[in-house]
Amino acid sequence: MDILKEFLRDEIQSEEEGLDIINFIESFNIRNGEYEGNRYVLKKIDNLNFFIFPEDIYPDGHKEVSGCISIYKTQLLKEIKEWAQSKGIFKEI
Amino acid sequence: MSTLVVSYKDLEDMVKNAGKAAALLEEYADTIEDKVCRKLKEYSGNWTSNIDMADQLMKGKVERLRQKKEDFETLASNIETFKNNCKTADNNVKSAIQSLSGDFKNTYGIKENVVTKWFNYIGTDLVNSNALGRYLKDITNSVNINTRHAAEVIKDWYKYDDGKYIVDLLELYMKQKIDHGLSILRQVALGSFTDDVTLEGTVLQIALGFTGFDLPCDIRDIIGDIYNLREPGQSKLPLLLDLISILPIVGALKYTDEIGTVLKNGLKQTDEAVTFIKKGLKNGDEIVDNAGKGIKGGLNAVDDIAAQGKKVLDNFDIDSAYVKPKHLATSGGNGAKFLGDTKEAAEVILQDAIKNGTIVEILDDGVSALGNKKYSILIDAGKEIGTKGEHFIKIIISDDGGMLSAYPVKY
Repeated sequence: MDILKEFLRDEIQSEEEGLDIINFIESFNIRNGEYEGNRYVLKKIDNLNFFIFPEDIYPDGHKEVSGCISIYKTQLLKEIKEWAQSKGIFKEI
Repeated sequence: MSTLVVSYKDLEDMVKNAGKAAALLEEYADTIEDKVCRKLKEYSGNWTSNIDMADQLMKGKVERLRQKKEDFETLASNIETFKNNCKTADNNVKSAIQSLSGDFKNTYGIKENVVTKWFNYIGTDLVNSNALGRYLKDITNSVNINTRHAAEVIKDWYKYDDGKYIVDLLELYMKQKIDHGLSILRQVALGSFTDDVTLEGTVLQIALGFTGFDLPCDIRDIIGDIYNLREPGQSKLPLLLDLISILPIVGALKYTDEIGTVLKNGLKQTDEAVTFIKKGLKNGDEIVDNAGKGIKGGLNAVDDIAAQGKKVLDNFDIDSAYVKPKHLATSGGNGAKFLGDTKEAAEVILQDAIKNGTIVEILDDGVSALGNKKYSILIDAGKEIGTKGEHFIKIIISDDGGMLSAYPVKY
């Protein structure tokens, strides 16, 4: 399972979602925290480093993280912009 | 820095010429004084103003000529002084250098003799004594500097610009050529006493047959063939051919065995090349077979995942499908929202889509903490089911029948 690819597929389906995530990544006011999407969580460690992982919640309420990747800010922004451009989500970057 | 070149001979000429000029001026002044001034003084007629003026002018001229004479004499004296000073300076420099070189020689035990002095004279005194020698010396120095520069360039090329590899390759090439040349010579000179067989050597041997020089070669080869027969398994064909070759007409035929060896070597290499190509083709076939097997295996694995995922979905209790609060239209947050004003309405939409929708994609989603396989299943609901116009639902289920997530997606 390619976590980054699935994250992009599931969490960036519209320009609004894409811009929300980019704002979360680039905002200096958000020093750390989580962006919770449909299934994936983008965790901001600091201004430059991020974790991405799928968070599954079972019917009994317990949570499970079955995989995780760490990614640097510039690389993440590059991947998001390339994905959004390729899908025609962003008209222009 | 400028350079002053002083020629003592020129200076001496200048002194002489200045002295001559001074003497001529004195002679001119004496002549005027004797032939003009004296006659005017002895004039017995009326002393007119014109005569007085002429007398004054002549006297002035004589005075100026004598002044010039003195100037030239002073100039000659100054030049002489300058020449003497230059000579003194030269001698001082010479003494200083001789003293230094003498110390150097004494320190390092260098002894002078007639031979070293002669070389010193040729190499230093003679070369530096005239313009041509200095010019030739400059050219020599320039050539030396350029030679050293060229040597440095070649050195750098050898060390840093792949020169070493080119030289090594050339060396290897030359070595091969020399080895080949030695093989030819051995074949021609030793005949049957050597195993060296080359095309060029065989051609040379045949050519020798036409010169009449082949009889000693034939005898040598027959002896060599007999000598070789002492080793077990040796063919008698070379001996037979060499014996036949004693007949003058068929002399050239005796080299049939060498030609055969040359051809055989060529054919052997062709065989090796064919074997190599065959092996290559065989390996290529194996690669293609393996690639095919890999692709086939991969496709089988995909089929397996799809079949297992479908099976898990079929066994899934659709009535237990639920919508998380963050995917309800009434909640906030970033997640996609199902249509429906209430949780129940949203779950009806979800359950209906699972029942009646079309499966578009089933992907392996890893393994849960309890070791259950998870599948990501994309279903086309065939109608709008999300608040942003989504038609697809993505559900994550595990093979123990649990649903982990379900939300509208666009794709």
